[in-house]
Amino acid sequence: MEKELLVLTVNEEVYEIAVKPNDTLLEVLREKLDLVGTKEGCGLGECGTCTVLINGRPMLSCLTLALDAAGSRITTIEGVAPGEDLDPLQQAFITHGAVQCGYCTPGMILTAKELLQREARPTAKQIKEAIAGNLCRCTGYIKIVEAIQAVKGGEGL
Amino acid sequence: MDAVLEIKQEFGSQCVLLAGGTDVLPLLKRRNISPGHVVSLRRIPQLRQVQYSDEDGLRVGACVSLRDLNEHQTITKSYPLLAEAALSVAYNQIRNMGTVVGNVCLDNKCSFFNQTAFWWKSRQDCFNRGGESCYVVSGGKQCYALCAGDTVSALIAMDALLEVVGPEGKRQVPVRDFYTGDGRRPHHLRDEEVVTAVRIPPPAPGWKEGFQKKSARGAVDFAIATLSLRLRQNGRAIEDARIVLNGVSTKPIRAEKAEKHLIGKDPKAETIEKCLRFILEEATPLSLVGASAFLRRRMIGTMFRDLVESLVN
Repeated sequence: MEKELLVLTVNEEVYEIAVKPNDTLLEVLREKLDLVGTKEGCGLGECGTCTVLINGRPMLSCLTLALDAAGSRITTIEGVAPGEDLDPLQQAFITHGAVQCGYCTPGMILTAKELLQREARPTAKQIKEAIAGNLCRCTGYIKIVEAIQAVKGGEGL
Repeated sequence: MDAVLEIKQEFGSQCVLLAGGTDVLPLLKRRNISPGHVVSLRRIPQLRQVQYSDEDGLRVGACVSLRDLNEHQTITKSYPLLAEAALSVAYNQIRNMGTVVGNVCLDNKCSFFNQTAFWWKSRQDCFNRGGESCYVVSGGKQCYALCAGDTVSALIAMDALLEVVGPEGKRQVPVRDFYTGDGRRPHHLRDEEVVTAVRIPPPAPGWKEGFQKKSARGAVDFAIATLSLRLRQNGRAIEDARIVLNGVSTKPIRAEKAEKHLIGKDPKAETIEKCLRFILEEATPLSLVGASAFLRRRMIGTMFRDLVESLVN
């Protein structure tokens, strides 16, 4: 399969890379751009581990073809922390014990970030609906919901 | 669109269309399908439009996401049934990517067919893979894969239509007539045709409507069953009804005998129970994709009784 040139904007940086038409965004982020914060769980759209923000909305990078992501603004977990400090949401996850193995965490944070941008003080029900597609095998979700509730609604990402 | 139609005409079923990708990519990754070509519809602006007018009703382009549909200002006001059905699909990320038309055109689901190519090395192919048996219905003579789209029952209950474009021009097909009941080829759609939009008539007065989806976890999963119910009453008597199920069989079920049974009658308990018996006769639920036929029948009963109680005066 012949490669094509893809211009991708990730975390406000522009990358030019040669990709195959059947490369997924997840593969390109991890293997070509070395942005390994985004993880693969199921690869089939059933776990939410690979969640990234595309034009501000949480989407599954394992089911997005890289070429289809051209022209969009992509945000990965690496784009969340402003500089050297942690984003308040990231700090809340640590403070509230919402991270165990950490594998679901990047996807969880990005999904929660978008929720907080449209709902400054989400209820537990709204949080659970927003993160319903981010599966966690470790924590039982209670601490994750508490961490998200502890954060005041977001400044822009 | 012309380019897409040209490609479809040349490659037919060897060319698969990509909108949200939430159905097609898993099929490709598991090698459930191996088309030679995948064509993305995502950069065709006319497929991303939502149009509404009081005369013509709603028109939703093929690439409008479930999320975008629900955020359209007219939806919650004029089409709450569709909004609720769209919100029941999978979860947040899938609704941000997946499209309404994609949900209508969802490939039928099967616990066996939707395993990986590696898994299938251990057994004989089923009908859907070109073989001669079905693992869902033992002794079955056709493919019994399940029709699973969560918005489908709502669209049928609202008398929605699909706009289809092909080499011979445009046609419109009612959503209720779109499904074949054959898991191998679930849709009445020719290989060269493309569904470009779904249209719903303008909302009519006097109807009350409700939607329920039952699933194992309340999100993420395919349905045990979905039920859309619309009723129009004159005083207590029911003047008209739409009872539509999906997620229970190889195609959606519009329970017409059950609907006719209600017309002119008061919604008393015995009428509702008789109506439910008609629904269950027409439903033919199957055991696959996370639920047994037994569970499906029970859930249909629960949902119907709940919805009737919540809607009638």
